[in-house]
Amino acid sequence: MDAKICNAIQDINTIKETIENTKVHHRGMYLMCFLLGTYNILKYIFGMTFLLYPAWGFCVTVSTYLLPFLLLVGYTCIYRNERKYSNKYYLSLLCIWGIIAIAIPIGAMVIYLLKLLPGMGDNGVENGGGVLYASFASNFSGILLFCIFMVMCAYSLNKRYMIGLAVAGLFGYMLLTVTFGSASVPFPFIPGQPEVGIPYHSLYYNAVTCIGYLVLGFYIRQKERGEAGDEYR
Amino acid sequence: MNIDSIPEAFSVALRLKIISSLVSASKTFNELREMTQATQGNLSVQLTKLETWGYITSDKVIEKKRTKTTYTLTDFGLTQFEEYVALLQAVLDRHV
Repeated sequence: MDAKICNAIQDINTIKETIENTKVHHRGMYLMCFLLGTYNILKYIFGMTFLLYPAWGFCVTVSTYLLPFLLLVGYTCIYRNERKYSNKYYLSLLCIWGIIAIAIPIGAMVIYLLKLLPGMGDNGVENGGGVLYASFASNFSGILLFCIFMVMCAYSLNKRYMIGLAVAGLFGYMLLTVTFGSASVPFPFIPGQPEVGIPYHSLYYNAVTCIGYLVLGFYIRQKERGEAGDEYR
Repeated sequence: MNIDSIPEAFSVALRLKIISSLVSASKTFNELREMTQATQGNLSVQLTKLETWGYITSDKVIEKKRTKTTYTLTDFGLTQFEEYVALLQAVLDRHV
């Protein structure tokens, strides 16, 4: 091949690779937000449905096994689609955070599956304190994951105030947990029904993991579309 | 710009990487070093040359007793870069 063509191809590749590496991609990040927000909302809906109608055991099956599996499939699709970008920093961030976000529900699913095996059940031993602690640990890790993602977004979008929001969010959850206040809510959610006490930190956790991810996803998508618009001016 | 009169700014791969990196946004010295994987000395020499030729400008700021230098592609540099990309495309189109 002509030396000029070889050099031209080499230079084009250098330019393309360098420009790709300088770009900050957000598509994978907001897709992950939508995926996790949707997953948490569906999990909440199925959980509440089972509480209202205990005979509907399929809600537990969907929430415990199907949803985490779909989450894993969704994440795999997102990551494989984003791999075409050569920015290794962006890919590493998406990979590390995504693995942690997916590992928790998948890990829980595996534990439930193992419990189905003969001899692996809980033998009917009551462990109310352990369940409570596990619930707190699970909720705390969910909030922490969201806050870590906000910090990632702060650097990616160059909006450093989001770090402050992330810290405030985590601190808020800790405060609500320590005070252990609860809201009296009629259950089922129909006025006039007997009221139950739902801990504030639980309400906070559900609000953050369900609505928070979706709001963040829309915000990131809006920012990316705004930047894309600037490029074409 | 034609194939026989390519500006010297694009004759070295490192300079081409520097200019390509600055197309989207200004970058600091450390950012350029990380992106180009060049040594400090070599990068400094190439940046000085590009600045002398008018392709980039530098802005030095002292932050916490350390000098932070930010490099920006000039309008001239961007125009030359676009012409060079068009030239490369023309070479490929002609011979493919």
